[in-house]
Amino acid sequence: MTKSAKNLIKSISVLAVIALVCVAILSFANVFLKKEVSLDRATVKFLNEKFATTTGQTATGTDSDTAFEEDYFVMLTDSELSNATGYTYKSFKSNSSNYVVAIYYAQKGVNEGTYYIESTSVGYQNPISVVVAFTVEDNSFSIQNIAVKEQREDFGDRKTQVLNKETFQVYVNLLISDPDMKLSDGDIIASTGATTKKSVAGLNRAVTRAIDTMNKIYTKSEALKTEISKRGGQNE
Amino acid sequence: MNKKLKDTLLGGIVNNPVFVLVLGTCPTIAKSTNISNGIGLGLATLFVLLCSNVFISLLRKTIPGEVRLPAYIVIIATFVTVVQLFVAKFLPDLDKSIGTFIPLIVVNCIILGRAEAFAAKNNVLMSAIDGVSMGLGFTLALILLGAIRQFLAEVCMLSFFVSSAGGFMIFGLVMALFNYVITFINNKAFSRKVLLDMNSPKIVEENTKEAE
Repeated sequence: MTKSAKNLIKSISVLAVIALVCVAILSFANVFLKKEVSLDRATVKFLNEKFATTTGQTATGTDSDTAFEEDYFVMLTDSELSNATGYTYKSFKSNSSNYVVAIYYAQKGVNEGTYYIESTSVGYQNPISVVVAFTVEDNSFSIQNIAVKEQREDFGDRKTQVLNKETFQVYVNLLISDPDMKLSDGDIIASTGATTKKSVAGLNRAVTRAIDTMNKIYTKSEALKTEISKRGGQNE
Repeated sequence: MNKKLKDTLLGGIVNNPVFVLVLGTCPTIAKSTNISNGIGLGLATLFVLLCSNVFISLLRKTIPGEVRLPAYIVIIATFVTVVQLFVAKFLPDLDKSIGTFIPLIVVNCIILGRAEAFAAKNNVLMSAIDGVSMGLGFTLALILLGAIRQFLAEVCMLSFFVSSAGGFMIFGLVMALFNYVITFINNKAFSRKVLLDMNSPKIVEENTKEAE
């Protein structure tokens, strides 16, 4: 074998080994550093305050600390979802960037019986996470409200290519008033002269995914409530 | 303390990566808008510098020259990913603030520059010291610029200095001042050394013999 062939094989082998070692390091780190979705105090505060009623009352009718400590909201687990509806969170996942993050349920308070589906999709460059509140009545569901949990489409002072905060909220309000409306990907924002294709598409996808998810599970609403009530039995 | 160790320890100041070597200016200008961002990004870069320098130094005799850059990038990217996961999990507020710039640490010239110029040619201990020294130098530069820009923006109400143009201006001025101070100190030290050498007994004896 020629010297250059030996060098080539050595180079490829060393690079492959380094890559394998790095993958091992990342896999190990992922075990400890993977971000778990949980119903923490910040999320309860978000749900309680962002979904306040038109009269200014919080979603639960009480303050966020009480809502957190007394479990006014619960987050559906995979097993509860599976037992009641036959679906798991993985069923609502398109890929690592487009998926349902969590389904919350208000088990007591003013908004008792409301489902909150947190869904995420990619906008211009970063994730857009929305929470859509649904009420289920008479074998149908309706959107109560939409709130943006996280988005970086309006970062800095940039007014070209990405949405500024006010315009982003305009699109959210449009979806709240007419959730069946598909926002046009090629919309031009008059105030900035910029196209918003990717931001709007990301927002569309996140909200649509939440609606599709609710479509799949709302008929099993009673079964879900039964599963959640079992949790209370286990705590006694 | 031997000269090489001393030079490596003080490298972060004397050869400051931002003000002297002019490396990593993109995140410096973009994220030195306040002190907390500076500290966050600086410490993240320090961690990556330290770990990548140690690994690359460990493997310096194994990595063939033809694939050294891809190998360095893979190693650096691994540690940047670890930092990104850590910040996303434990520091969500910092993640919102500087999260977009953490992946860019992979192509930060400081990391690759030190890997190529130092870690690939020195032992593990010296490479680790260099990583910490340069990382601290970068962090201090970010903190200094962040403090000045934040002061100008929030206390003096000159919000222009939070923008990129203002950042460049402050960066240039601080760089000029920094280099002036370092040169002044070096010249003073050199003059003192020359004076000491001239007054050393050996030199005095030679001069006396010549005079006679």
